Amino acid sequence: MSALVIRNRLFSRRLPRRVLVVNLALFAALVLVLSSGLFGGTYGIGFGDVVASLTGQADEVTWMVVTQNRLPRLLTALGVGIAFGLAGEMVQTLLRNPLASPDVIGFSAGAGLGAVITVAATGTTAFVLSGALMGGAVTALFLLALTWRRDLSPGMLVLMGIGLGVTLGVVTDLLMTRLDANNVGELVKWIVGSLSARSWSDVGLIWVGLAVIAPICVWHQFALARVSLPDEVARGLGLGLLKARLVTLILAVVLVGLAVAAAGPLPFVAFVAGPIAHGLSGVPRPTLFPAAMVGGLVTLLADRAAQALPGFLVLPAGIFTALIGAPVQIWVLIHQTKRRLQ
Amino acid sequence: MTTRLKTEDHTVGYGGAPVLQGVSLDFGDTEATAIVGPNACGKSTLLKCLARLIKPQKGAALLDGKPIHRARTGMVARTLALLPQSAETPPGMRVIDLVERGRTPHQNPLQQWSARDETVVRAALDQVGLAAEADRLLADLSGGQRQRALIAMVLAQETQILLLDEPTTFLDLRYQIETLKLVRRLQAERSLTVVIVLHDINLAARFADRIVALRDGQIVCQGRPSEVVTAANINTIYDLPAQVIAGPVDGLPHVIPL
Repeated sequence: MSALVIRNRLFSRRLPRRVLVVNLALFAALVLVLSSGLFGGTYGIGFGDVVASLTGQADEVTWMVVTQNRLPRLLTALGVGIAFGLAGEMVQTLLRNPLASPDVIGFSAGAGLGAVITVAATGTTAFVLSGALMGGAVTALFLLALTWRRDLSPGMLVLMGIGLGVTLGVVTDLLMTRLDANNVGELVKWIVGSLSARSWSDVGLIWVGLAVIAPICVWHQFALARVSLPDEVARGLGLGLLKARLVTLILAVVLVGLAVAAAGPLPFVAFVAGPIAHGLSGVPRPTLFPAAMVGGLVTLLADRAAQALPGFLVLPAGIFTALIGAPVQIWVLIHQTKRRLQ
Repeated sequence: MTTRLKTEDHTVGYGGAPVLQGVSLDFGDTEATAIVGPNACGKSTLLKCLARLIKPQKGAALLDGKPIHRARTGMVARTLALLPQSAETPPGMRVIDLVERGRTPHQNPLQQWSARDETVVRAALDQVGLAAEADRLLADLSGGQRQRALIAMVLAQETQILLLDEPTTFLDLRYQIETLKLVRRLQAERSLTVVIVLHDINLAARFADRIVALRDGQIVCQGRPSEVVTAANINTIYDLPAQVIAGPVDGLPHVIPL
């Protein structure tokens, strides 16, 4: 496996060629899916129409479709997918277990409940982000407290997290039944996740968040690649394990909070992105760039599937990410149990 | 004369009875010191304390005269490297990835493959005889090769002090000898200070300059192999009557249990 060496005064990396090829291929796939989402569909739109809409010279219908419907929807889906992909890859790598992704261990459910509570309490969606962040953070803290005495053992974290996630889901359901019908329509988004009727405020939320958090994740990848070694080895190499673990979890909570606030939990995006990226690139985890792009792809494709249904059957995109993710989770569970029994 | 690495009145316990009781030791610079003793005598604990994985309750492990627990972790990692007893490596990891991780204390998130990193990693792979296997998956290697890959990682750390925790445990006889010969050769070439925990007293006698024998968390005896490995001492350390003969090849003491 030959590798490309990039080396200058500021920066040096050894990049296996396969990783490079996988990154380029995923990027090309993203461009393809994005442009098919922008130009395809029932209302035909050409490249010229998009330029015209952005410069304010298109007719009103075209302008509506491009700037008020398709662009915000695609950009939200892409951003949310990237956020889930990054969060999943980081937590799975940290805990050395593919089951330990933020949506499986309850972070997403906590963020969703936080969002629902703020909407129910304030009657507006203005404070959804803080609600989602708080919900995710409280869930993470609770999980840390429950597993602290076992040194945050990954197996324990996964078990506790799954239980916690189910409990939080029940609480969310209970809250929904107590709300009046007007609010419920808007709140459904935070139970399964949906990308329909996204606005530019959702786009702004997720992309400004990514602009701040993603560079920190890329910087943190160096430490993360080493905390995933056995503890004794990592500490021997001079790594502060506790700090690296906390930074990873905080970054994941913020990413999940942002994504949930913008589009709801979208089950299993965080869970499938990392393993697919790892399988493609063939290098030890974390592989943040491919995982982010796979997250974006899965979300965009799930949303395409949701839109492809006949008009009378409107289902949120979260249903489709769950349809992709649930079989994968079952497979991982069977695989892990088998290995442990042997 | 004071050595770079030492312990003073080092005491450790895991809640119950102390595992190490007031151990004071000097580890000779550029020498190989073997720590031996029966199971649960505290030898691995002592090594973990030197590698600052365990904090002492009393006393301290000192590096250049300062308590190792209060030193900056990056600085310690450039001075002292640990080869743990066993290390499960992440899936998908190749030999070169693992050895490159050894450069961690010399790297940062921007500079992850400097010219120096590349030279040192290649040299370490050469020294353990794995240059041709650099791009192979660790999972596909034999036990002996994996152990050599881990040793190469520790070498790439470019430290003056090496701590090895039972590096021969999971190896068959041939790889045991191969690994210890490699450690000995590298120690001579680089004037390293080596502290090695060994189960087999005969291997310790053959491959170490000094032997420290522990029992119940205390030092029983220490010195050159010929001073430590005597029938009387073996009986004290292991409760095992034995005869000690001079090895037919090298003349070093050899234990024959009775």
